[in-house]
Amino acid sequence: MAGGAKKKKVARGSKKKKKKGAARDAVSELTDDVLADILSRVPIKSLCHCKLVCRRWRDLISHPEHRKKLPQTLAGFFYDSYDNARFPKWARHFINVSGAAEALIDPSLSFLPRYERIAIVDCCNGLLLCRGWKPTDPVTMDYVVCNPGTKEWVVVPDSGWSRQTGNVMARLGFDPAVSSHFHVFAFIPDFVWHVHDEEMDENGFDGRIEVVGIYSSKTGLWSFNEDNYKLGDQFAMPMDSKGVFFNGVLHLTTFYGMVVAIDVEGNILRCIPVPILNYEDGEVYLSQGHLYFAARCVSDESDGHELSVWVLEDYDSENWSLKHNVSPQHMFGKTLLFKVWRLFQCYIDPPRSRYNFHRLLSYEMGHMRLRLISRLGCHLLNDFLSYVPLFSVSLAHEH
Amino acid sequence: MASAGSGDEKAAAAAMITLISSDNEKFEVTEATATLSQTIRHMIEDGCTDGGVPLPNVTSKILARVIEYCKKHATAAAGEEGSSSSFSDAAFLEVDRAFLEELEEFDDAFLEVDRATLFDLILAANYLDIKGLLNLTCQKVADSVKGKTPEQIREMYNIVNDLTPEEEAEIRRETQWAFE
Repeated sequence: MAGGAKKKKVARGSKKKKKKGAARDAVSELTDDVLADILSRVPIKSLCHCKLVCRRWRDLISHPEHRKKLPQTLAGFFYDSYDNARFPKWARHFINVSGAAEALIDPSLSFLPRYERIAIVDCCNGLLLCRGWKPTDPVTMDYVVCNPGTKEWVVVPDSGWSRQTGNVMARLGFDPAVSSHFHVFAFIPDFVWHVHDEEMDENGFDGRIEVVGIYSSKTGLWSFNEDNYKLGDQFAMPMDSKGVFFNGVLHLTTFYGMVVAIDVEGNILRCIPVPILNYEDGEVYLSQGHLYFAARCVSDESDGHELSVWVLEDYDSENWSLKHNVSPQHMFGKTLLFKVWRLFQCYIDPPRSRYNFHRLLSYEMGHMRLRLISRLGCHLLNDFLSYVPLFSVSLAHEH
Repeated sequence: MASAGSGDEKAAAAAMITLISSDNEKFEVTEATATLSQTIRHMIEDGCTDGGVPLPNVTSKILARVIEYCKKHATAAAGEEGSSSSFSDAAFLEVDRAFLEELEEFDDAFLEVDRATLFDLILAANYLDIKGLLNLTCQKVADSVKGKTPEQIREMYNIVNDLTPEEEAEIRRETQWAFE
């Protein structure tokens, strides 16, 4: 037992302040920051009601500085599973973060036009970037951007690389606080850029990017930027590198310990070194208007399961400060695999050899609270995409 | 290793900090408990805690509650580090759940206070920079607002509506889906 100290009342007895609960407007005593903190915890629908309470609340909620923080209510995750013993073998699911039984979103996205198959590639502030395969020969595909909240969708015109789906990494850039227009980033590796379709090796992606193609829903056009990407290895990134679109800039983690910031013209604005040398599953995240980096540390002493989270308090600096350090072995007495999908909410996946099922757990860093969201079953594919619904903004598209 | 650990604990236990409330009541707490407050942690680091830490914004009633919270959570943090790592496969979730549930129960019971006290706790947590307590109390207020109509919220917190009918209509138009 640490301390075991006892509070000693040294001085005279307390003078009790009398408060008659009623007429006190306690909320007005809170600073804007604290009130914004409270409102940021209110689900989006209730938040709309809060706007009607009074001017101060309305202004706080509408203020662009706070709005970036406010609508971050995680609804749940999209994920895929594949099972040979099932029909259909491949399935997409949506799981509510509340764990409540009925999925908030229909994972089939049945409001979209008909495709042979639809895969969700990325998810950004309420919009989904999907690939839809047409039942034609040879198989071609469209990029489709949609909003499951409003059931709106837009088919992105062909970029010329649409057939190279296995070799082109695509990410969505959309920030309703800045613009109702979106951008699609296509990261095209050198061998795709130079080689014709027929000669393609489907699994040739080594992460080295030659060209970034960007589609703007404002102009309705693709543009290509080759200038910055001829440095070879330096801009190699894992195919599943999560993007964070923040302040109109896409942030991605490369293979070699850098977070690159790419604007909507494809220019590399910055390369921010990550705060750790040896890590696994390092990704950038966004929370409360700050950029975060979370990774599993790999060192001689650690077993590679310790999860560390850093924050870039000052965006213009390269000073990451360590925010959390969690060892599941200490916390739970068990070696578990961590995967982070959103800051302060982690997915913990027991190794398959020991468990024949996976569980989705959330762990609140601040509170050190573990909660079982749901059992997931086996045969999980790929990653989980966290989804924050967006109801207020219409998809803007002109072309 | 073990003896070194308990030595540290003794050292921590020996380092006591005196906190002085606005109504001049003194509370003696361990450094481990006190440093859950970032504000006090900085004061300790700067070496300006001799002779007690005056907290002119916090009454004795609220300070006593804040200390109660810090003690529990400081103990929880210490307990965790020493926890065994030999739970059986099936039991691991149950065991850690029991531990977390206890903390959760404490937090829930802790929040069983009237609104005035809750807001005083928020102000104190903000002033003392105690992240966990601020999270907990802010969440409680947020939960109380959830699913309520604007009228209910105003009534609950004695807020005067200073929006014009036109402004109200505009807000409703913006996010019509939320009011259907």
